[in-house]
Amino acid sequence: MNQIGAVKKLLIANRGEIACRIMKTARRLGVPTVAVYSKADEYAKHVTYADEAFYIGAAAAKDSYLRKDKIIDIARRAGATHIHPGYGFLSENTDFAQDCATNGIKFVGPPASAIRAMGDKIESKVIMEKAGVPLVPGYHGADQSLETLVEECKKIGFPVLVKAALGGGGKGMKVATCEEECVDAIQSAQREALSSFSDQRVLLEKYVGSPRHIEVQVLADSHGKVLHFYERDCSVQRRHQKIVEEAPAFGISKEFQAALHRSAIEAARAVGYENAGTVEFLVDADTWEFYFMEMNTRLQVEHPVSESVTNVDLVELQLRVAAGEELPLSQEDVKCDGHAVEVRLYAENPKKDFLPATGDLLRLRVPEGTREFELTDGVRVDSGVREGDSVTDYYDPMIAKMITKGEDRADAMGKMRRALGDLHIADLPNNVSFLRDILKHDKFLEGDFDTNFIPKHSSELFEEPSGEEKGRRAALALALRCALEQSGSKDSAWGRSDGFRGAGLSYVRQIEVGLEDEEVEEVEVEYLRQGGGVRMVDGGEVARILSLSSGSEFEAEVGGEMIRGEVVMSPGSIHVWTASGERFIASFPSPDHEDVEDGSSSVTSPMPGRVVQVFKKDGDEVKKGDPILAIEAMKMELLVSATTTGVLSGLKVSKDSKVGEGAVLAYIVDPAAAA
Amino acid sequence: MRWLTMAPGGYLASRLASIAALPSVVKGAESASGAVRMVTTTMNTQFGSQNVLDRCSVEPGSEDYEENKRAMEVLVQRMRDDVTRISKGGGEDAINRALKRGKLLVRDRINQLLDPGSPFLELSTYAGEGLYGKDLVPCGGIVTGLGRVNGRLVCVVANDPTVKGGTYFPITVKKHLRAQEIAEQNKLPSIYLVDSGGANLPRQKDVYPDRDHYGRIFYNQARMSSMGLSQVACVLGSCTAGGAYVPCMADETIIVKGMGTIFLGGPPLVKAATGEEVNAEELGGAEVHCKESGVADHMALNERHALQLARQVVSTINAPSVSEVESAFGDGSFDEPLFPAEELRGCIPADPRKPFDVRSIIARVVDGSRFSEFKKEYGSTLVTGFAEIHGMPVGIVANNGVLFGESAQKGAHFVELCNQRRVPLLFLQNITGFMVGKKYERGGIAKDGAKMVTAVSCATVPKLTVIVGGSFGAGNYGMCGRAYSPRFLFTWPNSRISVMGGEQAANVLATVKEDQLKRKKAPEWPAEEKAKFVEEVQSKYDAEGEARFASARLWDDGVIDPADTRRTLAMALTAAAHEEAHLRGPKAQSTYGVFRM
Repeated sequence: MNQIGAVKKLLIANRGEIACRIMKTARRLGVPTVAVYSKADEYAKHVTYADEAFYIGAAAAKDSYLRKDKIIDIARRAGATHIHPGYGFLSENTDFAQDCATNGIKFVGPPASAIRAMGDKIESKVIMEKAGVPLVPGYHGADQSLETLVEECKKIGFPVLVKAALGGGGKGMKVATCEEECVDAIQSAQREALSSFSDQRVLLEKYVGSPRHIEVQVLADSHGKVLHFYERDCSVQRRHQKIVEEAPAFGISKEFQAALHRSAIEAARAVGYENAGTVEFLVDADTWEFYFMEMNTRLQVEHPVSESVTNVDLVELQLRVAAGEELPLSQEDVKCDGHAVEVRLYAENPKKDFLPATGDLLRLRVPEGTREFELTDGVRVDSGVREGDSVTDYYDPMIAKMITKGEDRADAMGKMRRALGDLHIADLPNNVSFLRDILKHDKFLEGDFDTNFIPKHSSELFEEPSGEEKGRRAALALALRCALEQSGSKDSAWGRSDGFRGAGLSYVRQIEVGLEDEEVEEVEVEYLRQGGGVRMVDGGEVARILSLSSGSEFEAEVGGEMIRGEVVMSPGSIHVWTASGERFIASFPSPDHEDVEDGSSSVTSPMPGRVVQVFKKDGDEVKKGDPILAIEAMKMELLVSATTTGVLSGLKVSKDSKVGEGAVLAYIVDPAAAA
Repeated sequence: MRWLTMAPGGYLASRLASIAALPSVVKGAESASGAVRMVTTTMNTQFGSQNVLDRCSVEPGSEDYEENKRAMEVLVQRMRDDVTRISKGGGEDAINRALKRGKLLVRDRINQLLDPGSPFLELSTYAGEGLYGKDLVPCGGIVTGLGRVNGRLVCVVANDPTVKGGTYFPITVKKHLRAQEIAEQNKLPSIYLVDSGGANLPRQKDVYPDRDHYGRIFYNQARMSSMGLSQVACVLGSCTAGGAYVPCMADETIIVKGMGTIFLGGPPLVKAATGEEVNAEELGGAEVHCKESGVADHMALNERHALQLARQVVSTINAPSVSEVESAFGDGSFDEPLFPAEELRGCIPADPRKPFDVRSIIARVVDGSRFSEFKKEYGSTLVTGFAEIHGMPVGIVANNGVLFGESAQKGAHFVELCNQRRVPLLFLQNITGFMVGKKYERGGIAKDGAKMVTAVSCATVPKLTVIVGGSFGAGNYGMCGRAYSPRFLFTWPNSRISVMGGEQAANVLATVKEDQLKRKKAPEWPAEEKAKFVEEVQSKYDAEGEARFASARLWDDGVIDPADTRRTLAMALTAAAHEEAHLRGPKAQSTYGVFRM
């Protein structure tokens, strides 16, 4: 029965892409939306997406997106009947779910009890054990004494993983590979657990050497129906965070898949689950055994891959369930069609241990035909930022996620590689190239990967381009820079920036250039009259820019090869993307003469006055900071010191000499020059 | 590609707008060879239009063309080699010394001063070539030319300290003054990159006292300053004695710390005169002049900084930019000639006695090869008509044979026409002279020639002259030779300038000598000796008539590759148009130049 009308107004207690994505579906269903925003998000995309928007507080999440009271207050003021928490922030906050219920607002998610049950790693395992869901051999007992924990480790058999009971994101996780390391690992995990989660309880697990992370999307309604929407493989992770996710999992048998789904549904039933959730499993790729890890009681970042292969709008189903509807389909109706992959585009430095980055998004161009926040057989990009927005350090540095779908895995991956090639992001450090390298990696394409994929293959994934390739890039970058500097009309004899000199003369200029993170070096670039290209004087390819449109598209010829692409200028650098998917940054620092240390060689009087004492003689060697003379003025005595090291020269003043302000009293010269 | 979303009003919107507005069109960059044709200019073809010139018998691939081109390319190559040698300045040792002291070479200085990648119209590179025997003064020891700084056209005068310490030889003075003349006529700001030891003392009598000697430089600076033409000096090395007045007379002066010095008498002179011992930095370094004396206004930390400051100074000059000047001529679009510029190398017959149609040159220089000819059927040895170069109108006067009375009258008429219409004049010289002989003297060819000379002398529109072949006799005068103050005068490498051809001169002189011998009743001149005499005179005339001989003496503003003719003329015409723009703009109210305080 269609009850979506019960959702009179939906408040989205979130920001960024997920807020936009939820609003998109709500709008399609005719549900008015309310956004909340922090100080940092006044101009944010999600605010413009909503029908109404309310300010909730300062930029820091604790003052805004985590303020349960304010959000509920706004929901009441705005007349919102439902609150969708998105992911992160308050999405798995039991109190918030409870407060919503208390205030008569429907929380689009599971009941508080289910959140609580699944939020506690120990409690959840107890429930799962009862429900017959396979668990990693381990210990999650209440007895947290060191002796017991060590004993349990031995029972499980090494290697053993020690982790905080309330942990997440890799915090408080330690591996003990043998008995000797056991005590250390336990104590260290306890310390971290205590400091990060104020709870030092730990649990022990069998450590799986080649683990894959496979999770099952489930959805339950309030009428007792629980459906799965197939599984996702999220094994490719960096710093314990997923960056490539796909559906369905690759290389698993039908039986294995069915067992996973069954267990997921059992897990959901065991906690009286309602709405969308994800049951995460640890899969031992060596033995094909799977173990329950945890259940995420919310919509997840990577939900679009499941939408893509099952052709459902999970947010729509969430809203329908929240409206009290019965799920409008049966398990048989949920079909897995083709293969989908999602990559998370982060503002980060893959080469610097994925350090998050912040900055301005000068350019965000997505492949042609891209759809946003909706099902498509082409490229889907969900992004919470627009060109011109900033990525700040207040929130998650995810720029966007991109999803492609194919007939099979290879097809989906091929489309994703192409899409990544067509994606232009500047001027923020980002992981686009890195993702592309993953999607090109043989082992990944063969399906031979686990959660250790990135560290295991780091040498190939961080491979530097060849010297030849760098040379070509440098040539192209220099030619582009010279063309971008065209400051007059190209039709003008004086405006043309072609370095015209008369016959027999050539125009050579010095340019400081650095490719990617490499050091900047000065190169000499000659403008070639014949054909109008540029070339580095000490060798290298001739590069000619054949066309350069105002929209930044260019056609160039480098060493006889035609290259098409786009270029964007940001302060001090250019970003280049070629049609073949290459991308690189060339920096061109501008000389800052003011920065040059002022090795001032003169000794000047800081004020007008009378010399009261002279400490040095003409010709004396002085060190920087040595007092030279003292001046008295306005009843103040002031010491004049050497500004640099050298030999004092031209000191003409003596005691009682009158000096003016700024008067040069002496020079300090280089001893070599003085001689 | 499509925009993911349009940024409606984020605070970066303005930054994005500025990126979107990047000037960045270099489609089909013009090459010297003209092999790549401009593809973006509108083809302004009017069907049935009558004024479009055809190839005018210059056919690439034909025997004549290939022969002409070969001959010209030998000359062009020789010129390139000469210029490459000259551009090395005072030689390897001097260059290494300068580099070791952390100096930039003179052309690198100019490159740093000008807008990156922008053109530089260097003038008279041949100056000083072979003038002083063993003393080599490449480029006259000074590089001059026009270039763009922050979008404004400026006249650059830069000493080359690797050549005789940047001291002024007579040709250095002449070249400096000529650059100032160009700046004054075309109303351009001047920038002096000073690094000179002042007058070349052994040659003081030829550089110091006369009207057009050293003192004239400062006279010009003061007068140009009073006209509102900014005088900016950048002291990159020593400015001694007379040289010191260049920065002192400038409106705004920059000096490099530890490198630039300004003083009337250097340390040796001070010691000789007063016994005072002092080093150069104490005597007239940047600190002294920027902090104490006020002789300089800006202290630069190094040369690059100084040139950056000079660019900054130019950005504050309230003078029209190149694009403002150009905007007087429409939207800036124009058609390229129908035939590539490279073919200009094949127009002139390798044998100068062979006639050719000068329209073949016009067809390869003017926009769309369109030429509205005036009085085509009258006085046909002179071709006159209107055309445009880079959208700028120009009246062309071109020789197509010896000048007769009618051709001269037609020339006078056309020059008056251009003057009345305020259309700049372009003279394409290839003239053996006015017709001689009884019939023509009786027809009054002298007064017809005088009419043309009068018209040319008194025309107040900008005049440009290119000598594409011979420039002999009074033809040089009627066709706006150096004495008629064309704004710019360029020559092709094959050109020859002399009062008459070597052969004619030799025969004239031989006849005179024979007459003398006859009068003295001396024995007859042996034919062998006469032949030797004739040959000597002829070879002297030939050597002295050469383009580089002329250019060494600054009878022109430079020898150009014929293929660069159109580009060079476009630059010169734009420069000339600055005069009008200056007159339209705000005027300086003072009759005095800026006094340095």
